[in-house]
This record gives sequence, C-alpha cells and structure tokens, in this order.
Amino acid sequence: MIEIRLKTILGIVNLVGGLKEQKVYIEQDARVFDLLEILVLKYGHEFKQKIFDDSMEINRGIAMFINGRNIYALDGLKTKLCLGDEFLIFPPVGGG
Amino acid sequence: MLKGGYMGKVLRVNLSTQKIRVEDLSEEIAKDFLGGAGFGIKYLSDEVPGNIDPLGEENKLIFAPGPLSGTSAPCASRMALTTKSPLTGAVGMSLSGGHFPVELKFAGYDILIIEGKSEKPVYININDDKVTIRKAEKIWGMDTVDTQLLIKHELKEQNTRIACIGPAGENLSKMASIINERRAFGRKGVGAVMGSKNLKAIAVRGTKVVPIAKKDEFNKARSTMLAAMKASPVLYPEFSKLGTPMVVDVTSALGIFPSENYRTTGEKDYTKGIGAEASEATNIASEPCYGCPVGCSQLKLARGNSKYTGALSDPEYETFYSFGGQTGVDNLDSIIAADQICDRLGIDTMSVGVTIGFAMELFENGLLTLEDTKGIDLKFGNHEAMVDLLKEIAYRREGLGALLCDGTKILSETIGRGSEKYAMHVKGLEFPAYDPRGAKAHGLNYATSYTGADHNRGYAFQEIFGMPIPKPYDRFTIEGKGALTKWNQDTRCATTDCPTMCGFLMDMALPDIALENTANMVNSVSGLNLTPDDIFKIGERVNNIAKVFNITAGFTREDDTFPERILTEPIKEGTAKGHYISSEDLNTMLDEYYEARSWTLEGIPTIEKLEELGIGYIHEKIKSLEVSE
Ligand code: SF4
Repeated sequence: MIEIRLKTILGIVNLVGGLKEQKVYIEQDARVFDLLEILVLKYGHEFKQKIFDDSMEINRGIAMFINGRNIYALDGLKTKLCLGDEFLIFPPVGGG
Repeated sequence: MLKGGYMGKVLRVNLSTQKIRVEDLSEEIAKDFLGGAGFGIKYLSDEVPGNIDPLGEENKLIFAPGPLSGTSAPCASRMALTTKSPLTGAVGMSLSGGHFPVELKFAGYDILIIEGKSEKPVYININDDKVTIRKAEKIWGMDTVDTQLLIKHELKEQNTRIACIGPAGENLSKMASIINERRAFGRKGVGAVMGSKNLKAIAVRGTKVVPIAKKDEFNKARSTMLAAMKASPVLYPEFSKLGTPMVVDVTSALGIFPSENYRTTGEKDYTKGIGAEASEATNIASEPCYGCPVGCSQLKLARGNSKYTGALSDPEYETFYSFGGQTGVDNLDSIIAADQICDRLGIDTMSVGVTIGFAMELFENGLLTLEDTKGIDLKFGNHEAMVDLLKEIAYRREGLGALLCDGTKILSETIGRGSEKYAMHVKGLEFPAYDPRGAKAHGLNYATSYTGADHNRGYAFQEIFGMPIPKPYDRFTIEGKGALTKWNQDTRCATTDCPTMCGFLMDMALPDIALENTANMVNSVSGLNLTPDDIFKIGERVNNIAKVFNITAGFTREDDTFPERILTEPIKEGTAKGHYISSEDLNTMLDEYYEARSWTLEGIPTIEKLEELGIGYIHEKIKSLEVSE
C-alpha cells in the first residue's frame, strides 16, 4: 500500500468527512479510478452522486489534478498514482 | 438596414466646442464589429492617433453597449468603454455591468463618443433625444455616491442612471475608475481620461424600446441560452450564491493565489480568513445586473467590532486578492471597507491594491523608509495602513499619496534601484489574481493582451478550472499555449466583449456553445446573418486592430513580457512549487502565439492577415511608421 494526499475544496469537503486534506492508502500502481472507487466505498452515495452521473461517467465540471496537473491532460482516469502524490478534486467552479 | 438590436445612432459630444451631433451607425460596422469593444476599438483606431497624450484633448472616450443590451437576453447589460489608457499608453478597454449600459440603449444610442475638453467642470445629461452639457462646479470634489445622489436631485429624475468619477479621476490618478451605482469601468485609468476632460459625470435616461428583428427566433435562442445556463453545474448551484470570491479557494488549492506581491505565493493559507466560507458569512444580498437571472454580485457587510464595522460593499475575487493576498492581509472586513472606499473615491481596487502591495515590499526591502512613509509601518499584513492610504492616493496627497497615485510602473520608475524586477505589471497594467508561473496560457495572455496584464481578455479557464474546452491542458507546460491563448482571446472578445455579454457565462455555462450561442442571439435580435465562424473572426479582427493601435503607440515585442520575478524566481511552496516562466519559455510561447496569429516574429500583423480579416486599410498605419523610422 502507498500513501497519497487527498485535497478537496468548496462543496466536496463536506462529502469527504469535512476534511480539506487527508491521507489515503491505495495499492501500488493504483490509478485514478481505483482511488475514486475507494472514496465511493468510504464516503457513500452523496459523494458518488457528486462525482458520477447515472452511467458512471464523471459529472461535467468536476476537475481532478495530480500534483497540480489536470488528469485529463495526462492519462485521464487511467493516470497512475505514486507515493506522496497530491490528488485534488474540485467541484464545478468558475468566476474570477 | 439594421432591423433590430441596434438603435442605429451614434451620439457625439464635443466638450471643447460644446457641439452635440447624432450620426448614423453603419450596418457595415455593426456586421464587422458587433458592438462593445468592437465598436470602441474600431472608432479609436479610426479617430485617435496612437501616439497622442492620453490625458490630452485629442483622446476620446467611446462608450458602447452591444446589440443584446436592453433586450431580454440574459446577462447583456454590459458596456465597453474604449480610450487610450493613461496607465498603459495602449488601448484601454474596460467593461462594466449594472444598469447604466442598457439605459444608453433606451435613450436611443449604440455608441456615445466624448471628445475634446471642457474648460470648466461639466456633466452630460442625456434624456432620450435631448442632450445637454451642464455645469458641474458644485459637484466637483464629491465622491461617486454623493455625485450620483446630487445629480438625480438636480435633474429631479430618480430613475436616471449615472456614470461618474470621484476624487481620483479629478486628480488624474492613472488608476482612476468610472463608477455607475456600485459597478465600475474599473481598470486602465479610464477615470483619469474623464477627469482630464473636466467631465464629472454622464447621466442617462431613456424611454425607447430596443427592437427585435426576429421575435420567434430570438425567443428560441434565448430559451436555449437559459437552458444551457440552467444545466451549468456551477452557475446556479454555487456561483449565484458565492459569487467570484469562491475562486480564492480554487487558486489557493492550485498554489497560484498571489501572496505578498508574488514573493510568497503558495506559502500562506488565506482561505481561513478570506476564503469562500468566511466570505459567504458576510453576504447580505445579491445585486444582479439588469436582466441577469444569476445575480452573482454579493453585497457584504462588515459586522464584528472593528474600525471597519458597518462597511458595506461588493468586493469581487480580484479585490480579495489585491487587498488580501497581494498585501498579505487576511482580514475580510478591511477588504470590504477598502472596496467601499475605492468605489467612493473612484479608484480601481486591483491596481491600487497591487501598488500598495508593491510599496509594502519596497518598505520591507528598505527602498521606502519610515521617513518616506511618514512613520507608517508599511509592512505586509498592515490592513490599517492599506485602508488609510487609499484617500492619500486618490487625493494625490504629498508624500506616499503622490508617490503611489499613478500605479506600480511609475512607482518603480520613481524608486529605481532594481525595484522594476518585482513591479508586478505588464505594459503598466497591474497583475490580476492568478500567479502566471503556475498557469502558463493564463500568463501568456497577460503578456500579449492588448490592454496589458488583463485576465479578462483571454481567460484560460482550461488551466484555472480544468475545463476541457476545446481540449484539456496541463497548466504547467508551454506546448500549444500560443495557439490556445489566441483562441481564448478571440473567443472572449467575440462572445463577450463585443456582443456584450457577461464573461462569467462563457467560462462557466456556455464555453462549448459560446460562438454558436452568440451567433443565434445576435442574428435573431438584429436580423444579421452571421455564422459562428464570422463571430470568431470578429474577435480576431478586433484583436488585430487593437494590436495595430498599440504598435502605433510605440509597443514592440519587448513589451510582451513579464517582470523579472516571474522569469527567474520559481514559486517556493504549494502545488505550483518550482514553476516559473523562463525567458526561453516565454520566447517559445511568444513565437508560437505570433505564428498562430500570422504575425511576424516581431509581433506585427502582416498585410495578408489584415486583408483576410477585411481590414487591410490599417496596414497603412504600420507601414508609415516603418518609413518614418
Ligand atoms: S453573472 Fe454576475 S456579473 Fe454577470 S451579468 Fe449576472 S450579476 Fe452581472
């Protein structure tokens, strides 16, 4: 098992136990979808609904970054996670 | 013949001769430039030489709403103000929402051009076809709130909408804004241009109706747009409640919320003091622009028990940065108070906050002494000094006020001694609230935007919000960022700055259908027949004309750059740790950007490109410049 850091902001925080930052343990060579599966198991329906639509596609506007890089500019949900990685999930945001 | 959307008239007021003229708006101009920034930049380019003094009589103020303003199109009460900026010397284009923009349409005009200079303080009163220039000696010296109240009183017309300057504009601060209600044409020192003309205010009241060319089609296009807005995962669930300040949490998580004049970005957490949660707790009401179902703007009240108690204002994300991270302040009430004071004094919250943050670093580095500050301990985090300084600056008071009054660039030129390395501006316009070292296309837009460091001229929502339109991008890499920046700039210009629609919509609700949506809305309202490609071309055309203007104003490739801090100092902590934009990377991105624009490597639009855009005639301007060299 390896340790990564999960970071969340805004509307996601309360869906993951109110923690803006927490450690999560995953299998060596786990990918983003494995991590999301762990989080769905741990945090249940509300979290799942925020992230996935009915056909288990990622909801529009949900953004995910590994060490600050957009996962979709990497390998998407198949992007591998490594020891110490920072995984950040955004709810849909905008403005500025 | 334009059938709708446009009122068909251009109002020209010359303050030197006191002559008032009404001209026809040509269909050709409407078709090629749409409105807003398009109209402003076209008229500026045709009528104002690039090399004039922005505060001289020759400069003009060109106010232009868009064809959708004043109709029931959502979020279209916007207006562009175009002039030559005294802060940058480049095209100064500033947009404002509120109710003032639609009122000009109701009065019957698509464009208001103000030229010349009045000998004495005046204001312009537009009441449908009746336009008068009135004495303003009595109100000269008043802040923007009192000015609006007094003019309404004097005209015995409570429903008149007013845009005016405060003391900062009167004192020709290059950071002065123009305020209408609580909204601002904030940036680029446009208020100083008004001040230089001795023009205190413009009052508008109109009773006309904006005609719609194809009602059924318009209703259909409008429903489609409203449905897309409703389907947006951000617009109503979050944005209408939290407004732009929620972005503090976003950029903090990305490690690009600028801190202490960009010295400590990523090292401090501001979300506790001034993040979304703290911000929401101060909300008391939302203040929508005319006809906007979203109403993102949140009125905030400073409660608690401090010297700021009772301050009431609607600071946006950018102000949370300029009076927050940038100055090392995490006291929310002081930000609300500073915002309110700036609106009253008529000064841009962004430029003035960045300038104060810069002065704080100068103080900490010993380049400003206690003697210079007359004993003020101008350290980062000193919110009391920050708030107290605003009045000094707006009134150009001897000492720090006069020193800071014209913004970051002039302050660094006055101080010298290497301070330009961390004077955070491009072409004189202070940086917005995203550290470009951790968002490279967003940064390249600062370097190349025709207005200077202006996030709104080419917002890289792909990098900031992770939106995959037109495709996903890694914010740390430089590949493809030249082409992306061009795309962002042209799309933004075509879908928000010209038609004129609120920029927030495009980034959050409609990025994938923005061009199509604009075409459908504009065509149905006006009877024009533009394709999404035509719309995009309008954005490109306007960006090219603006570039030519800037070349005639003396700008070169060397000006498309960053302060040395961005080019040499990596961000030290946080998610964007280790990132910066080396000179080499900047050059690679610039080459790619110019190539995507079909400009020369010196950043000069080619005759072929200009002809392709139907504006070959302006090549003459840069040709003659070459000859005269
Ligand atoms: S979304 Fe906000 S800024 Fe845009 S039009 Fe509506 S209230 Fe105004």
